[in-house]
Amino acid sequence: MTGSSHILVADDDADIRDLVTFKLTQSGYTVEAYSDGASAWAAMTERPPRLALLDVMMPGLSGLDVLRKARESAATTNVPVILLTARSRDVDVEDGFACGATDYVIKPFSPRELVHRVAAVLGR
Amino acid sequence: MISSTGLLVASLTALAAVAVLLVALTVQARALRRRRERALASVQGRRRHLVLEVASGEDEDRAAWRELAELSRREWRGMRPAVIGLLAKVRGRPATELGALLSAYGELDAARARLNSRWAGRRARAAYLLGLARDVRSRDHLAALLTDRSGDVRFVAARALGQLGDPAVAPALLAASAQLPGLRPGHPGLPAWVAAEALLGIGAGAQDAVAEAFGSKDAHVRAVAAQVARFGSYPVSLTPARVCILFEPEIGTKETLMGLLGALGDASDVPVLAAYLHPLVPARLRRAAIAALGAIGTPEAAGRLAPLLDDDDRSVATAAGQALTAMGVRGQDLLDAAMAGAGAARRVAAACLHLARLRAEGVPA
Repeated sequence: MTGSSHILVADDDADIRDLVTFKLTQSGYTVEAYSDGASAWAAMTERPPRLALLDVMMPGLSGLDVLRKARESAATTNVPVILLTARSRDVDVEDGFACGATDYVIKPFSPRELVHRVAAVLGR
Repeated sequence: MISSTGLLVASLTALAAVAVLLVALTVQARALRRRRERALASVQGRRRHLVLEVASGEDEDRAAWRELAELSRREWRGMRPAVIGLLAKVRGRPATELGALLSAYGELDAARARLNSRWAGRRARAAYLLGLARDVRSRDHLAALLTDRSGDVRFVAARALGQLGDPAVAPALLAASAQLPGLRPGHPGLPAWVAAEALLGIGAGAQDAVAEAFGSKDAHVRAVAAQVARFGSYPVSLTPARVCILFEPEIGTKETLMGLLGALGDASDVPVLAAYLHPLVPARLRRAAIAALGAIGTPEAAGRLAPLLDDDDRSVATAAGQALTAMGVRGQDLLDAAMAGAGAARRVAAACLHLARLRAEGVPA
């Protein structure tokens, strides 16, 4: 594991957090997981990850709020962000991309597919 | 004879004893519950990595699955919530494996039996679990619940059928979205969005049943068909939707049908949509027709929209400006032409072009 494969995960659902952390760790990534948008954003600014996986609906700062902040900050503007969410309508997906998301994964999801998408975004 | 003081003392003593007993029972119950929760947490903690292994698709040799399938009943009770919790979050092979685990412990057979329970809550929970586990053997049992006397049960059964994804139940879902006998008028068996979501969950396999539903006499069914065809973008529905829009009395359904024509239609739909641009048509329908014409985007559609830029209804004029903007060069040429004129059309065109420029520069509108 290297610092270059450091991934930040933010989801208020402990099951999803544990599952994504487990799967990505098994795939060789270093994962930092947070249960809310505010602490995820604080961690992102302190040490920008190679990639962030954000749930859209979280208490306080939502995933879209974190994404918008990330795009506005020079330190994180280039961090690829994958949104992981149960909001599957076309308009939700469009909103996500309009805010600057790199990719969009809809729950329930295939953990294997998620890893492939992460790898594709990171160009591995 | 017992004196009144003695009676009072005896009563107070009895009351105090009862109070002490109640406190003791409460404390004991809490202690027992805490102990049980700790035991469950301990079981879950020790085995959670196994569930994560199965749920993440990392259990290639099924070793984790086999270990989980050999738990004692007590240990299984501890792990069951974790398995069900993760089953709701994943799809594909991991979901199949977690469902198989529930089946191995007889949970699905038990749930199928509970579908006949006299308690609505039990029926609904059983239907939820069977849908979550994508238990195809429960298809007919779940379809039977679409006419259950409880609205909650019908709701959960519909969602479960959507999760199973079998096109064979599409006609039953559409039928359940009609006005069922015994329900108050205006209250269909299933809310339109529940039926639509379940049908969309089935996917393109449902499109023939959806196309047929445009001919239903029930307005609720036609509304569901329109929504599913619109959001599922089913080409098979285009022909019946073109007929339906001519006779549909419900404004909401008409609006959805216009969206469908906009998404899948062509130049031949322009005259029908243009008929709804008349000032006497409700503004909601006029705006829907404008959006649909904008989506079709032919020169004739653009030509129908340009005169609306100075419509008396500002919302209609703005919608026309936005539709022209979204059309690209063809629409923007017409907006530029309106800029050369005067009055309301000029103002609307200027605002739309300005917003389009901001959007192009990446400024959120």
